[in-house]
This record gives sequence, structure tokens and C-alpha cells, in this order.
Amino acid sequence: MDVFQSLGAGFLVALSPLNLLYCFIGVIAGTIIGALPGIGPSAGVAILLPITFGVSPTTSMIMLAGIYYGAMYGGTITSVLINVPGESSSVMTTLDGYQMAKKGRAGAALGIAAFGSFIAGTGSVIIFTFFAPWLAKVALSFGPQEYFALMVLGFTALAGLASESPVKTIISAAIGLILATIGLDSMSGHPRFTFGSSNLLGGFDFLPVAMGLFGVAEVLMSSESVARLEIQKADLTLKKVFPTAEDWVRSRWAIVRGWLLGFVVGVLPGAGATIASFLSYAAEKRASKHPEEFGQGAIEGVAGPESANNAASVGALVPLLTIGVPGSATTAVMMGALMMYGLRPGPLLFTENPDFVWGLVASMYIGNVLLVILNMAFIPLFVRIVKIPQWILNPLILIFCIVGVYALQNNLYDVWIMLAFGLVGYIMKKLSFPAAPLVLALVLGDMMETNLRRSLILSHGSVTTFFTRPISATIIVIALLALVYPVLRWLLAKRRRASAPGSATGGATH
Amino acid sequence: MSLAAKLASVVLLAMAALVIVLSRALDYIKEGVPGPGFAPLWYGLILLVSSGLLTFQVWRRVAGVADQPLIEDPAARARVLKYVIGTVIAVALVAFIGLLPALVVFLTYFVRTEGRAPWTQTLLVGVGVPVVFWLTFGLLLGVDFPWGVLGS
Repeated sequence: MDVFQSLGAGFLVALSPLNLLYCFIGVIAGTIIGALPGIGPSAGVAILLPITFGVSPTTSMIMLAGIYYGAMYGGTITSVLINVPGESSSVMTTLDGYQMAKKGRAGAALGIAAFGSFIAGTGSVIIFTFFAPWLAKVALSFGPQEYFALMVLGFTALAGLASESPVKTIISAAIGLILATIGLDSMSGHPRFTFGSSNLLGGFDFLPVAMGLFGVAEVLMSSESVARLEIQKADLTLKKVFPTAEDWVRSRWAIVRGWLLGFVVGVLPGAGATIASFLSYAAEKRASKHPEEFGQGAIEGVAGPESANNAASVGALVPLLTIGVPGSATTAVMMGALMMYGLRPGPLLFTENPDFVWGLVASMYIGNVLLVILNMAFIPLFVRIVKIPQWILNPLILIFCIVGVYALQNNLYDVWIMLAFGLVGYIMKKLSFPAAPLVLALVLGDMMETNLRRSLILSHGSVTTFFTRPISATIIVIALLALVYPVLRWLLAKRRRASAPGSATGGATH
Repeated sequence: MSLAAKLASVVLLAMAALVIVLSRALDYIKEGVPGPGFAPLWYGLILLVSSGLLTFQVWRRVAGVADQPLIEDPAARARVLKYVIGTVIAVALVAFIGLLPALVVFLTYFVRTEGRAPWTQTLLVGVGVPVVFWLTFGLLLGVDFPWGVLGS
């Protein structure tokens, strides 16, 4: 079956009433989650996962993907209107978006962000449509060595690219890997670190851990402050939200660059939408004839990053679906959900579950159309939702977490585990430890260990097996470079600081 | 936050040591191939080295800095504790009075004390939201809600 036939079949799946409904729920929930400061897409996907328990994996994944890319649209609203990013990938939008709002151009900022997101999102789904099946075909030839190497790359890239502190990222990932070893060893059946507890024999389910680290911890963080959101007054009628001809001329190349850059960065493990938006903003500032306008309300500074973060969210689904290795926290949660439903993400999905893969791809075309309409016509409604006070929102999220985790296996043990990880997640946040590598490692841990041990069994215990196969060797070398990169960056920064006139060292206090 | 950072680095080191000791009790190599203790030992070593590095960084950075609690603002600390204790009590109550009544108590308490909402609004949210959850999860998705002393 060629791509067009497969996509046609996918549209038949995606256009079924139930799938359309879940796609709609997903994109609306995603927009709201993106707009609410504090709750990111990974928390949103984890918290809302339980409401898909009664439906098929395809329907579930259509909704979860909708939440993911919907959150990229929603993040713009608070960035522009309150100068607070709804989620981390919208940080760059605050720089020029809020300035535009202060000049009475909030509508134009939100409009170009919605259109840019639509163009880049849909463009990325088109690339996905043609690129993913090819990559899945390549990945069919992968053995355990390549899979192990890919997972190592995922972790080292995360340490090298995504965190302020590579050491803390490595610690977080190591804890996740250790947690993944708890329970029965999948190869020998030997119990590990169970301390005689029958509850621990099955290990830790990813959902209570993810909901604790992302959902409960977020609530505890936001409960610290009682600040009310000050929203810029803006005319958000449809006429004002449509960008003018001049806006289009100024933004067109920013959108194209954001799209391509975002997609490539999204595919890379560990990079993600936030880095894509940062890179896009830097690229636009460099490419502009008026770089001095950036930070003062340059529309390209909104169009580029917003296009990039949407493209990256689609790009991040490529490694998840084609090789079964998630590159970000949100896709790790989605992978956990897939495995919970009995599906094994990876190249075989394309041949064994074509309805699932192509239904999901088709739903992303539909979801992007829904999102651009929603984000043009109903912005005032989303602004009202953003105003929901914390004293309702926080307990509501906690109830969602409690009921959702309880629904997993109808037992309270999982709820206690979630609360424990909520506390751990809160402390991690306070001490600037990233939670994403822990969840990623918990999801990937068992697979990584199995592939490592299989590789060593095949090579009779020789680690050279990872370097004698060309693809595995290349990936391992890239992984090592990714690990060395932050050390080099740190050394260069240190040298620069030392050579700067009047440099003095100050002590941070955490 | 220096005290918490120092404590965390020590806890991480202890955790790494524990993992290494426990994984030594498992087979590292079994019948010539990696056994169940192989990966945990390496993960423990990675944690030991990285947390050792972190400990060095933390103790060097906070040397001479007065110890601060994790949450410096007392009011913020009280709010966080309120959420933690409130949630723990609500989950503990589930075993006695069931999930739905426990959620009603939990939500009513927060809406009334945090939002200072009038009683009509408090009860509307406090009872209405858990009922919506029960309709969605209990009736629609078939989740078996525990009913405690109320019976199922």
C-alpha cells in the first residue's frame, strides 16, 4: 500500500464520530492546558490519560496527541496577554507577544501565532506522512545493539541539550533506570529490590509516577503563590485577530524557517519544542534587517517560535512511532500509554497496526484545522478559562489525579505511590532537578536493559558489539559527543568568564 | 535552600550506595551472560559518580551560606503543607467512607477555606464536581468506586 492509500484509510479511521469527538476533546483540552500557566503538555497528557481507559488505543492516542500539539497553540494566549508563558515552549513568545499586546496588537500576535502554528503543524504532518514510513522501514533492520544505542543517545542528548545542569539530568535518569529495575527481572524472572513486598513484584507503573511527578508536583508548586493573573485588555474580535497583509509579509519566512527548524529539532531526542522555539527566535533575530525591534513587539519574534514549537511537537512523534524511542517527557508518557494498551511502539506498528498509525496521522491534519478555527474564533472563551482561580483548579487537578490513578487498577496503593512521587517531584522542582528524564528512564528502562543484555548475549559478553555495527557505532559516537558537548560548553563559558574584565565569582544558594 | 540541597546530595549518595550493595547480592554474570544484577550495579555506579559530583558542587557552592529551608516564605510553606496534609487525609478517608464522599469532603474544605466561597457555591462545587467524576469514571468508564462503610 502506498502512502496516499494508507493516508486515505487513516482518514476513514480518524473521521469516525468517536475519533472526531476525542480529537476535538483533545485539542480543546490541549489549548486549555497550554494556556494555564504551570501545567505543561506532559502533565496534561498524564492527568487526562485515564479518561481514555474505555476506548481503543487509536482513539486514546488521537486524543493524547491532540492535547500535545493543542498545548502548543494554547501556550501563546497567556504569553501574549499576561506575559506569563502557558508552558515552557512559549517563553520566547512573551518577549515580543506581550509588547505587541501593550501596543494594542494582541489580536495580531495571537492571530499570526495561530496561523503560523497551523502552517508549521500541518507542514510537519506532511513531512511526517512521507518520512516516517521510510524511517520505520530502515528501523526494521535494527537489532538490540541499535536500540540500546538509540536509548543511550536519548539520555545523553537530554543531558547535553535540555537541562541547565547535566549532572542533575543524569541523576534523574539514573533514578528512573533504577526504579525500572524494581520487580521481576523480565529476562530471568528473578525478583529485584522488592523487599518481600508483593506490590513491588510488578514494579512501578508509569502512570502513578508520571501523574505524581507532573500533576501533583505542579499543584504543590502553584499552591505556593496566590498571585492573580493580570490580563491585558484587548480587542479579540475575529477582525482584529486576522493578520494584516503587512503582518503576513513580515512573518512568512519566519513561519517557514520555524517550521523546518522546529521539525528537525523535534525529531532529535532530548531537544523538543522549547529548544526549537529558542533556536527559532535566535534565527529570526539574526535574519532580520531590524534586529533592534526584537523585544519591542516584532511580529517575526512571535511567528517564528510559535511555528517552531508546533512543528517540534509533531517531529517528536517521529522517533516514538518509528523506532519506539520517545525523545521528550510528553512522548514518554504517550509511549507509556501505548504500552499500557498492549501496543509496542516501533517500526512494526506501521505493518502490524496500520489503522492505528495512519488514523493518528490523519487525525493530526484534522486537529490542526480544528485548532486554527478554535484559536481564531474562541480566544475570548479561553481567556475566561485562564481566569479560573487556583482554589478551584488545584483541588480539581488533584481529584483528577486521585480518581485517574485509582481507575488504573481499582486500588489505593497506586494512589499512595502517586502521592509519594508528587512529593518527590515537588522537592525535585524546588532543587531544579528535571523530572522528565526520570519518567523517560522509567518507561525505557526495561527495554534498554533487555536490549543491552541481549546484545551482550549475542556477542558473548563483548562490548565491542556496539562499535562493530555501523549504525550502532555512529549512534554511540553521536551520544558520546552529546555528553561531551555540555562539558565543552561549560569549559568555554568558564574561560570566557575568566577573561572578562572585572569578573567575580558569586555563590548560588541552592 | 542550601540545607535541602546538602541533604539531597547526601540522600542521593546513600541511595547509590544502597543500590550497589543490594545489586551485589544479585547475579552479575549468570551462565556466561549478564544476570539480573548487571544493570542495577551499573546504574548504581552512575548514580554514585553523578551524585558524588553534585555533592562536591553543592558543598563548594553553599560553603559559608546560611542554611535556608526548602520553602522560605512561611505563608507559602503553610499552603503547601495544607495541600499535602489535605490530600493525604482525603486518600486515607477513602478506605473508611468511600471515594466519592472523601472527594466531597476534600473539595468542600478547599473551596471553603482557600476560596472563601459562600456556602451555596462551596456545596455546589464540592458536591457537583465529585458527582461528575463519578458519572464519568464510575458509570461511563465502569470504574469500581470503593464505598467504604457505605458498602457497594
